[in-house]
Amino acid sequence: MRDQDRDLVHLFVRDLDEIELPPRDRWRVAARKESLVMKASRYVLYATAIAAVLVVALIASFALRAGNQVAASPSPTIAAVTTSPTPTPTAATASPTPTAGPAGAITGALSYPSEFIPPLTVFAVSVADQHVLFSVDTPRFGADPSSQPTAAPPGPRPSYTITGVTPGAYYVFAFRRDTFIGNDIPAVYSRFVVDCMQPYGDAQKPIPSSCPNDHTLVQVIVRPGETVSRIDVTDWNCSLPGSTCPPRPR
Amino acid sequence: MPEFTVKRWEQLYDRAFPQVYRAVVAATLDRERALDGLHDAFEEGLRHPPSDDRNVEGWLYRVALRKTRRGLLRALREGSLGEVPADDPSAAVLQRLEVGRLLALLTKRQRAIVVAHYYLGLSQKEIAEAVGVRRGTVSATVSQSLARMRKGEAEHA
Repeated sequence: MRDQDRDLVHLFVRDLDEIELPPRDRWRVAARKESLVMKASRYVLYATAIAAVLVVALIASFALRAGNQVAASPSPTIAAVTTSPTPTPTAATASPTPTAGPAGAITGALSYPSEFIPPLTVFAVSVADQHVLFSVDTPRFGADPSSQPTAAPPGPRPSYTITGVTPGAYYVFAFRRDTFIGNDIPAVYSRFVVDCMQPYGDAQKPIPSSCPNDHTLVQVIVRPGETVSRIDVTDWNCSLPGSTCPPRPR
Repeated sequence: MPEFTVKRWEQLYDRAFPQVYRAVVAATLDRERALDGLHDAFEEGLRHPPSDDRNVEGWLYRVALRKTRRGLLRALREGSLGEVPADDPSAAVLQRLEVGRLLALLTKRQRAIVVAHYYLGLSQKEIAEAVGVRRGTVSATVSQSLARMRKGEAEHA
């Protein structure tokens, strides 16, 4: 190194070492400079974000609650029921309250003691809370009652499907939608359907007279995402003495 | 950071801080920017530490200069801008010193290179890497800066 360079090095070191250092606590990032406006903006931003999250949560909570209470009215299905082997719902000892989770569905056959089936509203009413219900309207099936009677309603076997059912235990029944005297007697999914109509009716055999005349409603358990099938609403005899019909939901 | 732990980095940073801070102040003539640049360099060191700890000063100087925005790369883009503002308090501090008067004669790029060379003792290769110029540019800039400082010194005398 030349002498001149050495002198310059000496000069630089001597003079620059006199530059005052910042306080030790400012050497690192901890003491970030933030103006009052920036700080206030930051707090406003945080508060806005928290408020937005709370509002969204509140809306979601109300929506969820409303979804549980309001009857869903999916469009009716006329398609025949696929009789795939599914667990036959039986009377459950517990009555699960409808809970959150993927919605299920209930499907089954319809019938009416005539050559036609009038337009119905099929209800699934929660066992635990009768205000929680789901329903579907079905159209008229079969020939007009004023026309000549036929052996059976033409086309596929009339059926219904209630979708969007919150998991839980339900009673399933149907009321006529048309104005007809006696339209407050519903069709129900009952013990009689399970024990007598399905085993014999499916086998095209006459129901034996010895079959118990039990028209008590059977609970249908809907599990998350599950479609419960063969919930046939085909028992119109709940008004017989010794039996009780469910009231028409309001 | 397997062997280059956070604690180790903090130690190295603290050890290098006084010299690098003064060098960045001399190069930028702005103490707040120098501090901001070093804070950013410290954080970058936490995320991507230097490959070895033999020349932490050079690494910090390079990163801090880059972070100050008024570092040499920007000065290069802007041309030979950056004469010392008369009302800059940092400049005023430096101008009380002999070297401060000399540095005030130089452009930012010249200051950054001269300070790295005479104060930090970086080699031409290290300076070239630090400021992102060719090695020959470093050598030429040092010569030009010397001539300018000599001329200024002669005029002052």
